[in-house]
Amino acid sequence: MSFRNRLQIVLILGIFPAFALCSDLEEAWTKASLFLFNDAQRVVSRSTEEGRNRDYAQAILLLNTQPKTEANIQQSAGILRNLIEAKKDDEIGISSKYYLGRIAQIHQASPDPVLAEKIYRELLHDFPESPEASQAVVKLSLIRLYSGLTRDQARQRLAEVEGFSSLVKGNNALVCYHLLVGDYIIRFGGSKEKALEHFVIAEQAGIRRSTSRADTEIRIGMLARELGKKEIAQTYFKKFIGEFPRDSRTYAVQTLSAELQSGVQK
Amino acid sequence: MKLNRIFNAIGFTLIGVCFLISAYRMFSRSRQETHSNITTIRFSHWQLEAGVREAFDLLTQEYMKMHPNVRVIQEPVPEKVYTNWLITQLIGETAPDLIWIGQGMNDERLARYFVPLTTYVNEPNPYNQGTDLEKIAWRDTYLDGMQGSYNQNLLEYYSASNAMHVVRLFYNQELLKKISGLDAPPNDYEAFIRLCDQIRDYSQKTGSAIIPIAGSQYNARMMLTPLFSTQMQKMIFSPSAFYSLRPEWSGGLATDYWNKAWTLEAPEIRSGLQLMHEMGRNMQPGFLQLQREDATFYFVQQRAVMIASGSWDSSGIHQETKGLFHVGIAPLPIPSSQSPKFSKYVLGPVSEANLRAAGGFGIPRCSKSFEVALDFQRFTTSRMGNQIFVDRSGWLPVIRGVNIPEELKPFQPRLEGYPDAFNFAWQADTKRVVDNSLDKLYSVSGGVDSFIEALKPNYGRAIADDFRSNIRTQYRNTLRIEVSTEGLKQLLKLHPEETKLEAKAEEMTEVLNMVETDLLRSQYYLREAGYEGVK
Repeated sequence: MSFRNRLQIVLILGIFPAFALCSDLEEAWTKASLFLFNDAQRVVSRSTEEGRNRDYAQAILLLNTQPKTEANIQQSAGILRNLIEAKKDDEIGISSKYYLGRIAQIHQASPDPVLAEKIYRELLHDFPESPEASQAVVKLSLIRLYSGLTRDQARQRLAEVEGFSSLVKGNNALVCYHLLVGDYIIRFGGSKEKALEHFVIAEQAGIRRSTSRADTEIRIGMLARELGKKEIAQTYFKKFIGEFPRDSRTYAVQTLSAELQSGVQK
Repeated sequence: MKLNRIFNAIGFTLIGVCFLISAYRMFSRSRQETHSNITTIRFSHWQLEAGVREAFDLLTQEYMKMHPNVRVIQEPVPEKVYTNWLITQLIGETAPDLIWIGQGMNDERLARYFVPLTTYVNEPNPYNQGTDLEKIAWRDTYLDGMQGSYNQNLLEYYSASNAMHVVRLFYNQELLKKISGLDAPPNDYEAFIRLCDQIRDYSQKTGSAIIPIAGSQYNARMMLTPLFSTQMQKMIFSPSAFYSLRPEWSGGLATDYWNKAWTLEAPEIRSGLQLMHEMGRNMQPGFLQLQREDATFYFVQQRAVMIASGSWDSSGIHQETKGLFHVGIAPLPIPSSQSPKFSKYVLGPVSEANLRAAGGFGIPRCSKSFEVALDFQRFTTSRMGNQIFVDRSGWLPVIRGVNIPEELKPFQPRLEGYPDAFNFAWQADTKRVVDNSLDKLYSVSGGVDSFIEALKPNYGRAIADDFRSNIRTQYRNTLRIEVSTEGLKQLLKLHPEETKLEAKAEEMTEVLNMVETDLLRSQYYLREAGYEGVK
């Protein structure tokens, strides 16, 4: 492994001792994490390592190897199917199943949301505790809410999607799921009380991305203010002001907070 | 025939001489750079405004004094060729050790060719030793927490900047005093318009051909767009903001326009256009066809009393007008909440709180002296380094505790105020159709009605075109982010003890779901509006 490749790993892992053992696959995943997909693909292709991990890496990297071709996507799907056939209940097998769903949903030239939905539901049924199942819930919700329907039809599906909430495990998936549903409600209609609940759950689960956190804190404050839940509104307005003093909306939020405090709401 | 031969001979001789000079320069440079005891680093940028190169020279000299075994070379590149130059250098792996990030840069190039600096920006900057910043992470020594250097898609810091910028009104102090008796132009819109009328009267009476404001395609936008925005401020509470106090184009304003929830005839929009129309009349005729240099020329030649520009032009303007007149700096005029004509839609002044450090130097992966380049970058963005830069360049500081020289105080960002809410031009296509109609707004026979009539037939379709281009970007981003996220998850499996990696993988997963939701929602809206879908 060249010095430059080791340096990349040092950078991605912070102060991790990169001069320790470092395999081709680790190098490939490092490159993939840095958006260098073709380079990552080359590392896997020339690697002498064998086994499920290598095949899995090859399948995933093929999904975004440039130029992106349908042949690559189908080759990737083929590898993933083989991996599942060999062993469907280890980490690789479960992830492979998830990515077959992703190929059907978004990667292939003609997306097949029905097939993607079927795969996600199987994943949920067979491995409900896996992280992939929780991400599958998020993707399934996207399909149910946005694929080719009128607003009225989609709104009817909202109740069904809200029913998925107990299937979501882990803070990261909770954030993704509740932001998605809360956001849908305030855009397409539904109970504002429910939207507020979704945003609060997402916020409490710990939103990593600062811009999403800023938007969510304001949204909670604004929704709570509209619903007359002044305490919640004030809590989140103050949280936003403390956390984002240099946001162009801070002054507006300070004004709203002061209005709430004084009881004069414009 | 003989003459032809002579010309050919001269031509070939010139080519030969040029070749020899180039070869010599290349050879001598590589010889200097490979000198056994000296490490040479080069840095490039396109900031050719007066004072900036000199400021970098000062930093370079200071750094070389501290590190006699290092040679730092500044290589400014003209703005017009910067993108092509940059791509060639990066692909050829001949790039300098530090490159100003901005023009010609996208996520892919950043990821492929530049070293992420995240690890380093979380460590203290050693050049801040002995100050109250010595134990603080480098990024927290920045006034904006280094947000300007953070790439929201790649979730990494790729640069460290030296300056931030605001737009202000520059004015000729003597001319203003002579014509109006004022020391500075008023900030209140109505009073400002009265001043402009006074200047025009003066010009007519004396035959001096002085105009109130020097305009050009470049400068006019800086003054007219914020004026328009003041009338849209209340939109932060509109349904298009989805409770975030930030109206959105995709999903909000765009679909609302198609659904006729708002039209170009909306009173706020008419009011904003009226402001632009009135202010535009105070610039020279045909200003939309003029370039940045033309407007500066008008101002320097004292044919205009004022010009709107960014703080980046401050040193240049001061230098060009030195000995001719004194330049004053004032905020852009805006209608106040007491304005008789325009107060209805105004909430208050526009906030500059989210001002970010601009651009900054990144380190290409091909740099052979990464450590030295990083060290130089740390030096230039230490409190001392930034002070040297600010004092000479006339640009605003980015590091906490740097003293703002008296002449830069008018550029201090205004932290109190309301966010910009809405602009007509969303992306390339809406911008194009708006620009194509703007002459109707400012022509003698035109006005707000003519502009709206000219824009109306093309605007809805332009929004759809912008939507499509947005969708293409969202689609590409979804695919890229997904594979990259999987890369992070796999690395985390190999190193489960790495909490930073875990945080990054989780943030990336959030980004992936957010971008994908935007994509599907955009496709949905486009379909719903009856426009052809785009994958």
